[in-house]
Amino acid sequence: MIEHAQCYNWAASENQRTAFDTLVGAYPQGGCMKLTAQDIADVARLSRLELTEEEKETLAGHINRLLEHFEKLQQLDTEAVEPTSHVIPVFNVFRKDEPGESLPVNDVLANAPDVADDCFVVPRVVET
Amino acid sequence: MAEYEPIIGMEVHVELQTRSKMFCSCEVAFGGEPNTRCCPVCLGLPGSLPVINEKAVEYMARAALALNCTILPQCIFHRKNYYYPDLPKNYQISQYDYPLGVNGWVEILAGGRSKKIAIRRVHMEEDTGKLLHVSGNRSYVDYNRSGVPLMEIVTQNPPPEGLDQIESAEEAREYLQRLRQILLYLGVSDVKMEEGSMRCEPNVSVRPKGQSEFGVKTEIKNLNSFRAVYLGVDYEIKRQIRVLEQGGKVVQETRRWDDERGVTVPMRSKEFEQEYRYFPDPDLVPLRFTEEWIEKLRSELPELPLAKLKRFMSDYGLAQADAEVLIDSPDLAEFYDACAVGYKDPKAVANWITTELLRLLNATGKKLNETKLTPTHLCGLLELVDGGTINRNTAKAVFEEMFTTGKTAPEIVRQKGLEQVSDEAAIESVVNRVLDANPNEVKRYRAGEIKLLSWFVGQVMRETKGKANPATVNKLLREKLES
Ligand SMILES: [Zn+2]
Repeated sequence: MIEHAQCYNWAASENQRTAFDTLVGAYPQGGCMKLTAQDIADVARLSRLELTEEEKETLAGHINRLLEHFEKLQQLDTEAVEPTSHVIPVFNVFRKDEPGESLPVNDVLANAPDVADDCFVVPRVVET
Repeated sequence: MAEYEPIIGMEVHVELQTRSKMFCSCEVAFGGEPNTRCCPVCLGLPGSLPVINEKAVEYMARAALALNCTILPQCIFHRKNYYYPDLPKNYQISQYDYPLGVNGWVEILAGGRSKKIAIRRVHMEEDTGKLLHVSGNRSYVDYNRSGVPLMEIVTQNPPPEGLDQIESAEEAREYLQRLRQILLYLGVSDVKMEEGSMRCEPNVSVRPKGQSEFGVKTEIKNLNSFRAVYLGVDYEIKRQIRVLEQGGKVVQETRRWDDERGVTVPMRSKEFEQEYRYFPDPDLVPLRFTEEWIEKLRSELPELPLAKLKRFMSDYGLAQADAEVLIDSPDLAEFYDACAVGYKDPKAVANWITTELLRLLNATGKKLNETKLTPTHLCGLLELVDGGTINRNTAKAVFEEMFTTGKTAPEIVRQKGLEQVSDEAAIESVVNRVLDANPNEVKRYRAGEIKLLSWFVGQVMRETKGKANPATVNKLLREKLES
């Protein structure tokens, strides 16, 4: 989450400042905490990675060491630093709303694991 | 027994009516052959780069303003990560903690006690592909819809000070209808629930009256019409109350509306909680909006449907029901406005539009702009009726002719010789003829069967091909039969 003190600099109106206030704490942000093998297992499942018990233990160690570095960084005073969500200072890159050519169906389906009726065929998915 | 009060939250997705997709130039259209509107970007092929459709941002900003939201000076696109075959990149480009608009509201009339339903956020994202479930254990995927600009509108419960929340199935339906009308007026979407360009997932909870904490909520899916939204929410409220009254507990789950059986049923839910691992999309740079740009969009907003409704009622003296029919379509409202301004009796105009015009539009399946009728045409017709040139029945026939040919009323009346005959002498001779030809009926009338009068009127009208002035016919028949 971008520091809200910084966002006030962009806010031109009282409404916009109020709007920023309502965003504080409204959206969970990842924090630095110690990860367990179970956390690794959960993330692996979300990423569709199959890991052995041994790998989970090893990776938990690796990731925790990385997180320790971030904890150290968090001790820095960033009050006066412009917030960064992107590393290059570029904004508002747009294209015009003009339709162009799409790919031929054969090309679209070239990487499909299986094809029928010009559709990608996948194992039946459970309704969510 | 405790009384319960329901609380409903609404998450609505609306597909925008842009010409091309959100992040690539594939065409946006409904239907068509599968996988014919796809490219490396919307298929998520490695090395492809999304570029934001400027029009889509403008449409959504316009919508956010019309929903009384504050547009933030900066917004960011995030990746929402999950695995599902309708999502080729394994993430959806969406927004998280910096959405386009926040803190808005939508007014509903709620049976006369107006409420402002609080909107928490309006954000931009892309639609997913479409899964076609075929029999057996295979699913087919069509990615034509993948990447179509999508807007998400979420209500806020509990609402902030001064705003309200949705508290019944009726209000849920009206909220959705008002939202649809607003988006239609803005011209940013065709908002068709049946075709899926407007989709809604309400969540419902109930709590004993007076309790401040919310009850456990369930989410309802598969609501494909306004009617289904009403029925599904109503069913779910009653079901939850029944569970609680029987000493049970409501389980937090997603339930599917079964339209045929009229019930909601639990869906097989994922066994673990979703964690979308949001992070800013490095492919898309932030958007910054100037106050001038926001104010320009605001100043360009059209008169919105509820404002129009209130104006039609106060300025033209219409009943709410008639005004609702007129404002439900921006075309019809505009047509009516143009007629009513140029005519002395706005209620009569409303009457013609809500009965005759709508009947013809329904019967022919045409849209108003596909017909040749203009407001001037309709006013011209009404003036002929007022001036006594034609009677009401003839006017209906002339109206139908105007609707199909685009000719003006005076033209049609002249060409077909439909001028009303008000000349007493001419009508009298027809009346005499009818009475002479039907001595039996005359006798019965004079014996007290006075309801035969309308039968006589019908005979005279037939003889005059409907052109006789009905008042004159009535007067002459009465005089002669009762003398
Ligand atoms: Zn594309």
